[in-house]
Amino acid sequence: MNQEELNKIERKRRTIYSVFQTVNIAIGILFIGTFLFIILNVLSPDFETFFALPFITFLLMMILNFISQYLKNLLKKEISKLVYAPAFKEKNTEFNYESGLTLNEVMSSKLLPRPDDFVSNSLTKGEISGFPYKASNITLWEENKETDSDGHSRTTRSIIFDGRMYIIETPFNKKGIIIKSKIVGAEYVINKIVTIVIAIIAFGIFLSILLHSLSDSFFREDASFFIFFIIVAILILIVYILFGGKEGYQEAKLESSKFNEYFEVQTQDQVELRKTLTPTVMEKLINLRNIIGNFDLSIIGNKIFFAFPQKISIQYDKPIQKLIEDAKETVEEEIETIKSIIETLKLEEERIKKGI
Amino acid sequence: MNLYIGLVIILVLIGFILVYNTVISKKNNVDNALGAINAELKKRRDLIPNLVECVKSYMIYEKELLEKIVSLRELAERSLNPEERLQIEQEISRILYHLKLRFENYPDLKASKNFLQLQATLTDVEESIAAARRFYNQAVTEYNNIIEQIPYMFIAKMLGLQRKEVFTIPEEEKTNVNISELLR
Repeated sequence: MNQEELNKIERKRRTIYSVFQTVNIAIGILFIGTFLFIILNVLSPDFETFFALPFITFLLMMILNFISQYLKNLLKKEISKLVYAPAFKEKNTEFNYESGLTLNEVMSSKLLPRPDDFVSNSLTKGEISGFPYKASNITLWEENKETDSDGHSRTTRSIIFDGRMYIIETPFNKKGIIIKSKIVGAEYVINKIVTIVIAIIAFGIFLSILLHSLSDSFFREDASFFIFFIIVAILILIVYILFGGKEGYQEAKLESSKFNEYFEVQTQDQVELRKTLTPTVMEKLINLRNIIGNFDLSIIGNKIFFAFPQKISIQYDKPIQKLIEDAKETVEEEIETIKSIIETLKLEEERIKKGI
Repeated sequence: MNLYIGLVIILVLIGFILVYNTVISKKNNVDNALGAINAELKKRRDLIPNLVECVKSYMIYEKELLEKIVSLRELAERSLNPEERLQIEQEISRILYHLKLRFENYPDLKASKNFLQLQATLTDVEESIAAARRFYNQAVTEYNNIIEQIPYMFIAKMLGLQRKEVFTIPEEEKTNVNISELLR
């Protein structure tokens, strides 16, 4: 890209970014103005303006917010097309901000539960170390319906996963192997303490309710029925704990205590698992975990799936030259991470084939 | 009062079931792992006749070695004692290892497509055997740990469960072996 083209892109970016910032400032001023208006008039409100003005500004803010989101998307689309796509192209990879992996592709990784809502973008397609791959940002939500004592129900959304998933096609054909990162360090200790405290409180409440109920004449009359009910509930819980895993998958522990501390592993075939997770691969995965943090990985059939809780984020608030550098860095990071794992698995497969 | 006693008995019973199931699942895991090793060893034994058939016309100077491996294979097939069979399998591993080293001396053999395919399959099966051994060792370690832990040890004693030995790579597999010694 020559300097003239760069200047043209930069002028376009600046124009859209200025409008975007102006809209955001207008939203801010409207919000502060309305807030001050309410504070100043709350003691002696002129009812018509006191309710009409916030209503009008709220509508205006909604419209401006819509414009702001549109401009942000426009900026991201333009930057992805003009900056990120060429940076990926240099590495023989296609980049398309508006496309993404499908929900079926994500679900076939068996790494994530089926969501109620799903969004994907920033699709990359290419080849790393001779293996075709595709990746995209993915966000999965689950919806929980809550009903209060008055019978009003409301739906809350929580994020199940927000990050990037890679799907790499290989010539290997493996039965299912699922490797998920465990929480470690201080976070693990806090998590454990919180779980124990919650369990003790829950058990205490359950026991006190149970004992109180058993002394109640209503329950005493049909005690055998209630005890039977409790036993059935506990048995269902036990059966769920024992057999509640993924269909055909068994938990597995490996020889490396560090690996067991970092990851939980499920497999359809214990022998094949150990053929794949050799000491070298385990060490490599431990090192990777130390470098990039949490990640999940699964190997199913001829596909390797990686899920990282980090997305490719399209920057738009910096000068074009800086954005180009950022894009190159992002591409390098993405490719290097995948390359290191593929190389490890590939080397191990070759070692096995040669019988070294 | 009777209700509380009943409740305590139920909780103890559920605890017993959980502990019992854990011990049994660890024991079964060891049996599964041993089964996996035997399945892989069987695959290797099934490959030996084809391998010998393929190489015998090239490796005329290794006739005795080939005869030895065939007889060991038949011995392993006939053997009903698992420990004896495992010993024979270790002997087969040693001979195969040295046979593979000698393949290098036969360039014509290495050019044969059929042989290369057999060699790749054999290598894959041997890798599976090594992986199955790792599975077995892990299962035995977990089993040995649990049968010595409270409260699992009471159930283990009740069932008469004993510690099991893990697989170790025999010293002779790690070092060079005198072939003539093997053929005696």
